[in-house]
Formats: sequence, structure tokens, C-alpha cells
Amino acid sequence: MRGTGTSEVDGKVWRNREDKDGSAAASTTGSVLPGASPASMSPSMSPRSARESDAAVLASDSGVDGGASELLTKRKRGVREVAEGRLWKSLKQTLNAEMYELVPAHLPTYTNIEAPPARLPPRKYCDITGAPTQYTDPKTKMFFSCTEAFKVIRQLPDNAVEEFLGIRNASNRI
Amino acid sequence: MAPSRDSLAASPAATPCDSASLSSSIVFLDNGAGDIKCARVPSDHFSAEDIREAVGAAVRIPNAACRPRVEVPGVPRRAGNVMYGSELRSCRDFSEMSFSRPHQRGYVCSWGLELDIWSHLLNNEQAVDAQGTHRNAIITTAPCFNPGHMIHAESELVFEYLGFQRYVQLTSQAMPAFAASTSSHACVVLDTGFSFSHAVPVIDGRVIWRAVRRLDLGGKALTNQLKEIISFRAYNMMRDTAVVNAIKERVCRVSPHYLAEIALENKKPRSRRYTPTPDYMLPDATTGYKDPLGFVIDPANVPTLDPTAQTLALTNEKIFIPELLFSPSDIGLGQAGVAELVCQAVEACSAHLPPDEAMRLRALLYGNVQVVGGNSLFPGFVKRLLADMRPLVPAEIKLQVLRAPDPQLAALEGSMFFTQQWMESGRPLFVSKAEYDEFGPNVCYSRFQSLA
Repeated sequence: MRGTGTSEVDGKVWRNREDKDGSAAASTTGSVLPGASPASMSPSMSPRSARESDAAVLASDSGVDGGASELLTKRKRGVREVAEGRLWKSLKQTLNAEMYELVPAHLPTYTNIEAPPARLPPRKYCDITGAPTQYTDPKTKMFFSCTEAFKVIRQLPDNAVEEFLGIRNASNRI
Repeated sequence: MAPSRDSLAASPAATPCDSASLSSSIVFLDNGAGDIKCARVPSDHFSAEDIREAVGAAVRIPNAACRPRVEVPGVPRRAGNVMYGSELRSCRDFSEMSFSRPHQRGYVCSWGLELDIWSHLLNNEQAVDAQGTHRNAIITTAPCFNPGHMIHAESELVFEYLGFQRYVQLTSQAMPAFAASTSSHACVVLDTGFSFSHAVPVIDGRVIWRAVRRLDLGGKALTNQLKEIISFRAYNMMRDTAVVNAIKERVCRVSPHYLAEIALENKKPRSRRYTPTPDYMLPDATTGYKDPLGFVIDPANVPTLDPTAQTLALTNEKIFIPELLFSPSDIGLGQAGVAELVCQAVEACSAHLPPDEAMRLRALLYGNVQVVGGNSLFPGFVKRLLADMRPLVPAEIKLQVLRAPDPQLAALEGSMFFTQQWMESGRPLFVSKAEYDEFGPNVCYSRFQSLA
């Protein structure tokens, strides 16, 4: 039987974790995983030493994902299902199942290690010619690099202006 | 043998394997979203020499089921007419070849497809030759922050479907830090690959997970961008992924100063601006197949070209495409470029330390920036990275950016060195079939967490 030694709560296999009050949950057969739990455990779990888990949490950031994503959906079906034409979970579904929003913000996960924007402001390119530019039309907020481009911009109908701005996500229309 | 950059044409030397070495061999499989890099070492105890030999004979195949436009003779008939890695070597027509990849945004999602690709690789590649009875141990890689579901699925694949006895999954971004030529107490690995780019600080063999930073731009996005631009300006090549990828790899380069180069072109009188000479000869199915992906035209040969031949002239795309790695805001991606990515990772490492310690840590990390991944092969990449990083790094710190000798095999090589070091230290590395049978995939998850 796969997964002996783990506890089931609502059909989900919970890993070693402590609940919000600090009292720890049952151990799985694996090693102690540092990392805080997003939700409290059921009382049927046998407690581990709270001090031990606290120390583990403070001591290291180690772990494949910082010990953060410990919510593992119980695999009711397996690779076998491929033969029956089962569809695999998409990345979006897998990531949703990881429930990163319940993980404390200081722990690294797939979602919060994305690079923040650059320090320097983004470069501007003329909407008509594509050349790098520094000029913005105050009326339409489009970028232009030369007088011909400016003339074109001022002759554009409104919907065309919206489309140009929409290409670079600068449109006011929602 | 100099490893070919192009996995579509790469053909390793066939090494004869005797059954004694096969039964104890370890298969290393760097599971990239673009290409799989695979090699085998003969036994548990291997030396640096063995590693060198294995990496030299490494197999690189696209991690995809490739569907050609017309059937290729000699390829077994399959549902959907797909071809896998080694069969591509007999393919002479890559136009409109479609690639079904098991990966989504860098993580494996279609495990059925991945199983097909891996089975084909393991059964048919001589250099790997891990057939049936000889499936002893396999070491795979996965990106940082691989969700638990993926680890479960992969362990199931490896133990139950491929029949290996021992298995471990390593983090591909951390592995280059262990390769012999780069060993040091601290380094930042910048891995720019197919799906994304990560800056991963590794200190004393452990990854600082909270300081890892990811840029969602990689070779795949660059190729797609180039396809769109070429389709807009010249020929419709939206379905010719393989050919455009080859064009990107062979023609594009990183400009040392992008805006200045564009401005230089604009300073010319309008009549002489952007007069492109043909850069690339597109592959021709009717003539002799000099190279099934086309070839770069030597400027000296331009007058002698056949005027009816299909050539492609690239103007600023040559420098615009790799520029996206350094300035993703040019296509509206609100993330920092690779230079800042490394700096963000280093700053995150040292943020909580007192100032003098922080400075020392920064010096260690900035002094050893390892660049791996296919995108670093663009000419001028390292030089540009240095130039972009230099203003962001404190003046008293020595900045050193090193590109691995073979950036595409660096993770594979690194995983071999990692395994060697780990096994010498006697700590448990592999998850065995017995453990898996008894405890289930959870044991894989917990064991792999303790590795880095």
C-alpha cells in the first residue's frame, strides 16, 4: 500500500508540519521538513516536539522549494492512466494545487521568486517606426520618433490610437 | 569530439558497452525543456576522467515528439507520425516540423509524452544503452521549485514504468556549481535556458532558495519572437520552428550597446539605411540539402548566389532578439534582464547581514558568476553581461563572469561531480526501489529536499 506512515486529512496527504499554535503534526516516514504549515492539523495526529520543529524552521531555508509546498494531493490515479487517455494536470492546475497563497510570504515558492521589474525605466520605442525614442505625444500618449510619425499619429482615428496603446498595455480602455 | 550545438543534428560517437559495466552504470539525464542531455558512467565509483569521457559522449536530443511535414523513410510508423531524438538524424526536411513538448513553462506536465521520449532515448541511444535488464540507477534534473506532484509523477515513471532500481532528482540550476572547473565556496549560477532564466546563488554546496530569481524569458520565447518578426517582414515562417531556431542560433548576436547600434544605422542617409545583404540561405527541399536547416551566407559569396534561391536578410533582428534577455521590457515583460537578475539574487542573499559581512559575501558571489544554458552561446553575451552588471556592482568588488566550456552540458557535468562528491561522503543519495515500494513517492520528495 503506497503512502503508509502518512496521515490523510480530507483525502490529502499531509507532510510534517506544525500548525499555527506551534504544536507539531505527525511525522511522515521521511525526514523532518522545515517549513510552516498553511493550516492546522486534525487532532488525530500524534504531536512532535514543537521546539524541534521551531528550530528546524529557523535554522535553514533548505528544501527543494524552501519546504513551502508540502500540500501533496493524494495520487488516486497514476501513470497507468495514460493508456486510458487520461489528461495530465496542466501546470496551472498543479500550481493551484500547491496553494502557494497559503504559504508565509517570507518563504520562497515558484510564484514569489519572479524577478521584479528593472531599476531603470523601460525603454520607449516609437509606435509608428519602432525606433528608440524619448518623445511622447501629450494628447494621445503615443511615442513618436520623427515629425512624420507625429503627423501620422495626429491623423489616426480614436480606435486606432487605442489599439496602438493596447499593443503595449498602455490603453486606458479596460 | 566537439559537441555540436544543434541537438537536431548531434550524433555522439557510438561507444561499445559490455554487459558488466551496463549492470552497474548510472544514467544521468538532464531533463531540459528544450533538449534532453543524457550520459552514462560505468559504475558507482567514477573519476573525473570518467566524467570527461561521459560528457564527451553525451547525447543531446530534443525533448519533444517531432512531427515532420512529410513522412521520413526509415522511421517506424506510429500514431501521429511522430519521431523521437535519434530518428531526427535521418530526417532531411525540417520545414513545418511541429514539436509536442511535455513541458509547460519549464515544468513537465505531460508525463505520458515524457515517458515515450525517455523510453525511446533509453532503448535506442547507444551511448546511454540502459535497456531492460540493465536499468540500475538514474539521476534526473528538474528546475528549481519543482512542485511535489511532478516529483511524484517522475518517481512513478522511473520506478514503475522504466524499471530503474535507484533514482534521484537534482536541481538543474544548482548543478553547474559543482563542476570541477568552477568549484569554489560561493557562486551565482545564471542559467539561461529554453523556458526561463534563473539566477541561483550557491554557497558551500547549498542553494540559497530565498535568493533565487527567475526571468520568464528563454530560448523558446526568443525563437517565437523571431518567427513573428520574420513572418511580418519576409516569409511566413510561423510553423517553421526548427529552421527559425537555427537562424536564431547562427545569425543572432548580442550587441555591446544596442541603442547606439540602432542609432548608428539611423544616422545614415535614408537611402542607405537598412540595406540588408542576405544573411541566411533557407533550406531547399528540391536541391542538394547542404544542411537541412539552411546555412549562413558568407558575405563574400553573395554575388555568386543563385538569384532564385530563397534567402533571408535580417536587419536589426540580429541584435534585437538576444537584446530581449537584457531588456525584457522591450516586449512589455515587466521583469529585470539577466544582468539585474544576478544582482537581485546577490542582494537578496546579503540583505539580512551586517554591512561588512554583506560586502564580503557580495564580493564572493560577484567574483564567481557562472553562466550556463544555451542562450549564453550568443556571440557577445558574456561581454555584454559584464558591461551591464558593472554599474550595478559596488566599485571595490571584482566582478568576474565565467561561461562554462560547454554551457549546454554544464548541468549534466555538474550533476556528475555532485554525485561523485556526495557518494564519497557516504550520505544517502538514491531512493531505491525497495524504499519506494514500501514508503511510496513521499520518500522521494523528502530525500530530494535534503540534497540542496
